[in-house]
Amino acid sequence: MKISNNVHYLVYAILFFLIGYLFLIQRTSKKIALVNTQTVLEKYQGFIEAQDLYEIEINKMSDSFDRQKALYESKSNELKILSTKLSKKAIEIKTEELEMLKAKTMQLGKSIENKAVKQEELLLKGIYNKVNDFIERYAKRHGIDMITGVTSSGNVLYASEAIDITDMIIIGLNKEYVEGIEK
Amino acid sequence: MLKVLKNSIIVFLFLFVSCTSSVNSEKELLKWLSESKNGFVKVSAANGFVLSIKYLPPEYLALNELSKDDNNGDKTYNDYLELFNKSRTFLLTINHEEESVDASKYGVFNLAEYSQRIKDLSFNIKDVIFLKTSSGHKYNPVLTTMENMYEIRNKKSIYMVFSDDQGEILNSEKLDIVFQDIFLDTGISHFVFDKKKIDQLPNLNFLNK
Repeated sequence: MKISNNVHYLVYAILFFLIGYLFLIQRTSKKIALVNTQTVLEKYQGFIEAQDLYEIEINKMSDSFDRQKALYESKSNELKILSTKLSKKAIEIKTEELEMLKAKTMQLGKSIENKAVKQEELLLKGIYNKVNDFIERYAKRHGIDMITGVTSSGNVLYASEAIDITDMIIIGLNKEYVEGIEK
Repeated sequence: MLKVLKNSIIVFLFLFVSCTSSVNSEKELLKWLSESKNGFVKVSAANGFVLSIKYLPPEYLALNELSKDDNNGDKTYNDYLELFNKSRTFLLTINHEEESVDASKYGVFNLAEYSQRIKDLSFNIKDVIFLKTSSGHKYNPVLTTMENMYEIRNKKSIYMVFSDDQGEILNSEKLDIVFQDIFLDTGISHFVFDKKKIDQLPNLNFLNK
């Protein structure tokens, strides 16, 4: 009877020790996850919409440049055709006008290029901020200590699928993009 | 048989009463409107900024007008209600998780830029905000105005009114408010409201008192 009690105590002690040990491991081990940032961007509705918006803006700007370019080309051809019939003075005036138009066209092209770069920067900055904000909230909600971003040219050579949360991030981001943040 | 029917009616009535909520004061109404489950508030966040859009129902706007000091009593609650029933009003609130960051000063480096930002948030914001209906039509606000908080808090509140002659905005099943932010680096945000939810106010018991 006494031996049986002792065995019981021993089993309880071992169990207590094991639970304590597991609890300690749980508390001290850090949770790490991995996200394929390229895949997230490609499948994020916000990025797709921003891309479409960027293309619309660029097309609008390109149209105005194309019109200006067509005007310059037409004036240039006109001068070529008329040059045999015009006086030297008239040709000089027309050439000067054409040069001014060429400079204006080039200036417009440069300005469009700058605007396009700025527009792209603005859109990407907003998207990165949204994605980063979501990932931070996701990590806090799921008790993750670190989330590593993986790219095709990055430094992570191998990671188990168990820690890859790319799909969860995409689902969550797209849900939040349409439904907003759950309070 | 009659007893079963009677019990069923009691259960039905009990369920009906429990489902139809009611509020007893303006304060309770405000609290109810702020509860996310009721569908009147949608939130988005990025870059530390929290953007929140709240639908302000005509009933709330009418009560608000009545309580103003300049209301000389020639208009009744129903007059205001009729007026606000013709449009949809939303309140965009922008604040930052850090007390020191403010939408009117973010990315602003001098007084001229600050003045421009105030103009942008007060008036030009209507160019970067639109309401998309279920059919895909887009409407910019007919009116936007920023509430003057005198820089006391890092919160900015902007009222937006959407209206159209065809009544499409009032009848659309979904109202997707899209904010294409060019000031605060928060990107594109969607705030989707469900007509069924925002047209379902609780009974305003205090109106009859």
